[in-house]
Amino acid sequence: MDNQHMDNLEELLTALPKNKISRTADLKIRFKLYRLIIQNRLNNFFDLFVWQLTPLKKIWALALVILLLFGTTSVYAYASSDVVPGSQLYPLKIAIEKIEQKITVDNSAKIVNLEKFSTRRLEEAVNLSEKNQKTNRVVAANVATNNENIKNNIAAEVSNHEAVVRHINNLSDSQETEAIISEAKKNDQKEIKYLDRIAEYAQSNNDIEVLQRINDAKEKISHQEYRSKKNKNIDSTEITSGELEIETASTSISRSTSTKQIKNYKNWKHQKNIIENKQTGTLEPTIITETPERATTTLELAPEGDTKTINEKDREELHRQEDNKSR
Amino acid sequence: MNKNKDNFLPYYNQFKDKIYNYFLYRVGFERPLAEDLCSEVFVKALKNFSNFDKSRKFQSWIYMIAHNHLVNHYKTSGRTVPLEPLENFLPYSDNSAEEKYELERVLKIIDAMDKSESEVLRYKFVDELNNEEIADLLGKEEGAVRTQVSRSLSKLREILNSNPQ
Repeated sequence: MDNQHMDNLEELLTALPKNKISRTADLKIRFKLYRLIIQNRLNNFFDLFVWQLTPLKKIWALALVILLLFGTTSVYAYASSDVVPGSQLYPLKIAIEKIEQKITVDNSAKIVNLEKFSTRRLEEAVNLSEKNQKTNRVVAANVATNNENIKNNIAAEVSNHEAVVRHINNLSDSQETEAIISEAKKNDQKEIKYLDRIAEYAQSNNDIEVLQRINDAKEKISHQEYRSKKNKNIDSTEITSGELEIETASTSISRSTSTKQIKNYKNWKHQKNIIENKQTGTLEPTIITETPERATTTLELAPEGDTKTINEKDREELHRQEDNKSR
Repeated sequence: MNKNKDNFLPYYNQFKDKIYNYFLYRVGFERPLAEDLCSEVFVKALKNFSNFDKSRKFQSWIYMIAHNHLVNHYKTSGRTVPLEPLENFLPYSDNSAEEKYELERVLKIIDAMDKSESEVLRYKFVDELNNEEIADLLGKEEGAVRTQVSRSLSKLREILNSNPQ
């Protein structure tokens, strides 16, 4: 090599070729880098939410994942009226209802649940009836299955209704119980309307067995009387024409009914005053009813020879009632 | 940390060819091997990117990783710096035939020199690092690097002069 080249050694070295990495190799490296970036992001997520959890928390996290996965299905199965007997989610719906009733402790809450379930059974029966209406009657097997499910639902509704009655009878006498009874009666009316709807479909389809079940169910609901326990014995009164024989009601007045008794007495007194003004030998009985179930009479004939004035007798009666109240 | 990982890609774009050349000149111009080593270096760098001190230069850091990786490679592979013929490499360059011949000769002599001398020359003329960057890489003073480069060039000239072929 001559001196000129040697002097240009640095220039020569600078001219050393600088190659570029091939496109294929570049893509391969990029792919590795992107994969690593994504892995790091996932690891960060798991570090934050999973790996730092204690074993107990991991179980809860797993349960939460399962719940999220299946929760929407459960909610749909539980709440949807389209989930009827015969559909795949129906057993899940019934299972959730059973669990709900089991975990309910309060009697009044149980009653609410039972009424809700009754309504659901009837809604499902309406749904099935509509399907029967729309289904080609040639497919008899489907219709027969639906009818069977409708009858079962009606039976379930009747059973729930009886359970409601039992629960109400176990409740103590209070204003809340009265409210529950009132609500139950409203629900009964609603159920009868559902049954009427199902009956319409059954009638148009000539489903006699279904109609029979509906009639039986309506009969039971219509004649249902809700009563709570009461410490009261009410004697019967007999009213004959022209003559009045009255047996005074002997009551052991409880604290909750004492106000009503006093109110009854005042009404009785008012009626007596009217009768005194008439001054007739025959007395017109007046019955004041507190409720349809109970009737209190208002009259007492003064026996012959009784010298006490009516006012005095009023006072005595009032004292007697007050004494019983204080007891 | 995620933001750091995302900021790594621009660095890759900037230094991918330089690191590739770094390995190419040091593994006897074996392209596949150079590509593999380049890939491994960048993956390693990405994994440790969160530990990278942003006050430092990325260039110094990536070259340090590349140097250490190359040393490990030769330890595991049991190879020294090979002297492969340059036919696979220089034909792709824009140099004239005469230049190619001379370059091949020079490179062979550089490979035969002391490791410290040859490394400085490669950093200077292959990797195109300035004295400051070389100093940062080697952990030396800039003046010392300048002196080292000068001495290495002088020695190269002597060898070339003594072997004019």
